[in-house]
Amino acid sequence: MKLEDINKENIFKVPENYFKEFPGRLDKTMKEDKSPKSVPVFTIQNVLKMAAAAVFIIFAIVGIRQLGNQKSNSPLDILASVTTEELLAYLEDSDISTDDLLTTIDLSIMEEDDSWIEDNILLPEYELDDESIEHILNEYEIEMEYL
Amino acid sequence: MQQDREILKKVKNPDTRDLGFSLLVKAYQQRLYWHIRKMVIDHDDTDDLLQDVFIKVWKNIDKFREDSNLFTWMYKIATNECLNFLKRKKNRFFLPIGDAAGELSEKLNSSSYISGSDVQLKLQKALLKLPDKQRLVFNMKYFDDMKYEEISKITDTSIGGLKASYHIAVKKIEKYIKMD
Repeated sequence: MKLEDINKENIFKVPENYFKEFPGRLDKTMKEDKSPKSVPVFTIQNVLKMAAAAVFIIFAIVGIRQLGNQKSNSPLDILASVTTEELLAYLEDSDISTDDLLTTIDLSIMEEDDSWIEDNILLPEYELDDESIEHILNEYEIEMEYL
Repeated sequence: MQQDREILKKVKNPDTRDLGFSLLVKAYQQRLYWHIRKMVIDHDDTDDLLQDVFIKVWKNIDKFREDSNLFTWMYKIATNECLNFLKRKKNRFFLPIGDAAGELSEKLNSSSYISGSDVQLKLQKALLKLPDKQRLVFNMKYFDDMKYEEISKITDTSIGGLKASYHIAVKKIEKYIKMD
């Protein structure tokens, strides 16, 4: 079968009176809220939340691996001895602000290149189970719709 | 073009701005809707994006240079909104990339606002196998009968590149349709 054999007729439909009512709804939306309805994934706030979670996940993973490989008294090893639960509890009670995090990590790379996320967070060998992911998301009130 | 000039004149006059924008929405809502709908498939997503597009048009209309075509400018905004929306879908953490196309394909089967023959649905499913930008070019050329020159202005792609993209898309689609 060739492409030209297929009927080009539009198969998509709209609810009754959609185009008649759309201008009114748009006008209402614009008066109620001057900003667009949809929430961009990479708003500063969302990036900060994700970055905060990411930094601590990475620290926890690196720490656990380091703990398994060697024992010494270096700061990294001491950090490695901290459990994920302790890190999460610390984060919850600490005064570390998102500004502090911003000064220590380069967020621009996350916005410019999605591969950064894949390379640095979604490492296949560090895959987390569903329960851990849900726990972390709940801890930092990260809603799945933003991810 | 005369209609565009009249609309722009009203939109850029503070006294008739609201009236002008209302005329603009009524004049272009359908064409923009169908352009977005063919890309994102779902009616509700299209409705959200269409509102976003018009809000962006409203906020940026003063920056519009009248030496270009008003509709081409709005088409470009709509196109960017679609591509960004689809990119966000694919970039959702913890979801395999293939799920986005699968989700759209599922909507073709389940949406109450879609009705076509089996072969028409198969064509739409074949389109979802294409990269988004290639699907976009195909839609504008095949369904909207747009000229390559016009598509080139919207997509910032050379005419040669567009012709190649469309040719490859047609081959892929025909191969998919012949399967089974």
